[in-house]
Amino acid sequence: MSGAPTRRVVLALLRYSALVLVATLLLLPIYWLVVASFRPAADIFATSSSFGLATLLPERLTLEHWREAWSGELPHAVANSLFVALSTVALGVTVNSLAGFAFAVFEFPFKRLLFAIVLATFMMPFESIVIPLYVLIRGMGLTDTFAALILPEVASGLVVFLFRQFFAAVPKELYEAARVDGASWLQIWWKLTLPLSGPTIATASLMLFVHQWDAFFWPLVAAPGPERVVIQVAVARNVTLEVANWGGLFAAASTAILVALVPFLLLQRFYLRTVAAASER
Amino acid sequence: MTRLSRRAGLAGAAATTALLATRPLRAQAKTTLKVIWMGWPEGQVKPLMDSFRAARPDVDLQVETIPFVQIFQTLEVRLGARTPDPDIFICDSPLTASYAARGHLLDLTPHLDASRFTKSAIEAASWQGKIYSAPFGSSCPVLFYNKKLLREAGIEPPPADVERRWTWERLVEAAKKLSDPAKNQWGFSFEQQERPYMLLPLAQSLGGVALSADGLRATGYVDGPAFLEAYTFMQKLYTEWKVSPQGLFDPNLPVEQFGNGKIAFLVAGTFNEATIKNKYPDIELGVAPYPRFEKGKAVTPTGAWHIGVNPRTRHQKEALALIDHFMSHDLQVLWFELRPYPPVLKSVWEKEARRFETDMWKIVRYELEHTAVPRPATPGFREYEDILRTALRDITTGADVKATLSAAAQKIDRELEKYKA
Repeated sequence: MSGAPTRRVVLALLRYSALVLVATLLLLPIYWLVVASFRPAADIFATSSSFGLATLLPERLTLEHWREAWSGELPHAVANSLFVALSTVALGVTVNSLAGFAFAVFEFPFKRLLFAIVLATFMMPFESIVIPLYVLIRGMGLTDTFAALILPEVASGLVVFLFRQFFAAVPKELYEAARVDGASWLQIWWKLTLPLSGPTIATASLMLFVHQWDAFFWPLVAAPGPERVVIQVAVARNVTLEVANWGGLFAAASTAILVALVPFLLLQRFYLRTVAAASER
Repeated sequence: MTRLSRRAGLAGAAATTALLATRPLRAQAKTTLKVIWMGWPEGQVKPLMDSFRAARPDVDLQVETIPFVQIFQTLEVRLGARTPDPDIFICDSPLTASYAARGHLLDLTPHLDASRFTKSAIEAASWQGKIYSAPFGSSCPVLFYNKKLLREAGIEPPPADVERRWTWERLVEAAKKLSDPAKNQWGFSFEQQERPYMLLPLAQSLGGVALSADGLRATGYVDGPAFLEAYTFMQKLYTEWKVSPQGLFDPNLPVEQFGNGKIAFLVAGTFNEATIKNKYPDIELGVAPYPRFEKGKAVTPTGAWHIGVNPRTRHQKEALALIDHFMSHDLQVLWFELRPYPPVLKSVWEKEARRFETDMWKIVRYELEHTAVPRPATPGFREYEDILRTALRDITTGADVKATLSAAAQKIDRELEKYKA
């Protein structure tokens, strides 16, 4: 009788030990990075050569790097990145859900071809379109503006795909009933389907947010002026070929990680659910 | 309340209109030059730009500093778009040919007086007999060492004398005595463990040539006997003699380890002297020339940051004025004070002689005049460097030297094919 429960306990123990081990391996570098940002400059690499307790537990702590990082362009960069990321989320959810709605609900010529093109956009490497995109943005007179950072990232093939998959699963009868009651298509989208698609909106927001939060190359190309500096650029400025301000780098990188963590922790359960659901349909 | 806010709104709108209206007026009054610059600390950029602004109040500078990790990719996009923007850009000297071949650099030959510059700087700025980039700084690695570690191991330090420079063979013997891999204690490291810049002189010391004279063929050169011998030697530093720590590919890491007393000898650029002394004030720093092979000759790397003018600029006169200003004696002295790269102007070496009386600068001056060899002038330098760099990286971690170099040479040839037309 006692054999089965004991085995279950042992199995659970093994399973959790394995999970803890994997989690530790994944989190250790991030832990080291955050801790290093509190170490005095001379200590950062002094203990890294042999892995031991001293690698993980700092002997001396200092706020010097954080103070230095936050007295420079970092706060400005965080504010800029938040503005860019949140604007992209607001515009992106609107535009992409409307597109997804159209693909899910309406019948129109070349619908499949157009949808295939939408899907192709998220498989295209950014490097292959960056020069024409830059020429376009420059032609529109938008270089060095927030619009240059936000507009190209609003429409996302992947997010259109997620919304289409979700809206396609809503029973057609629901739309028909609303039409019979006299609702316009825009009203149906706004009042009926959007309120239903909370998890998809959460996922889309998270994807758009993280994508913009991580943006590095495009901001350097399109809006490199000091007023539009974004977080990843501010992080990278701590390192040149010849000099690295490791403490400043780690403090800035920790900031970038911690801020991006907030929306992720809030929305991640929706994220997993939606991605899994979209791939099943 | 409503009336008040409406009035405020109207006032705001009027102010905005007024602001918008004045913008083009101001733009007409002043020419703005767009400059793409390396992401050096602001304190090393602003004084240079301010100096030009003071000299030319009618020209405004819009300076974009790009972090090193992305500067080449950013320039590829910005120049690749073939617009007048940027007017001026910082140009890594070995990329001069690459940019010039693709029409991204204005020919500066009629504008620059080549006789004012050191020979190696003009070589690094030239392609097909013309000067395409304005030399702004040079470079020269030296052999730094930790006096205390050498003393403790009973090793006589290398002399700071170019005539009696150490050989690589002698350095390895000393490094073996200073290494204890189990304790993460190392005899020697290159600052740049994988970059052709710092490693080409190994092969060149043995008579190797980096690329064919027309800059378009690597087979027979990169996979030739000198390269094979030199990089087999380099591999042994890591795998057989175990005197160099593996995998420190970020150039800042070997410097950190040297500063922390974990590496005894370090081949590194001159700018590290100040960094090391500031960050690790306790270290007893010694300096000697870049070694050579026993049977070979002395060769050192050179080249650094130059300045290029976009041929599509709409403000060529102002852009050339900036080049003039940046090539002036006074500005070059200021630049040296901000960031001690070996100067490119002969006048700086001559008139500021007292600054160069240290062992390190005496060595550097000799090397630039006698042993410095710029990286190969080829329109395909970006590809050449990328491929060779990966090969060198693989060799440090134990890859078959002959096979790796042959594969790299063939790959480079394939990439260079497109420039033959």
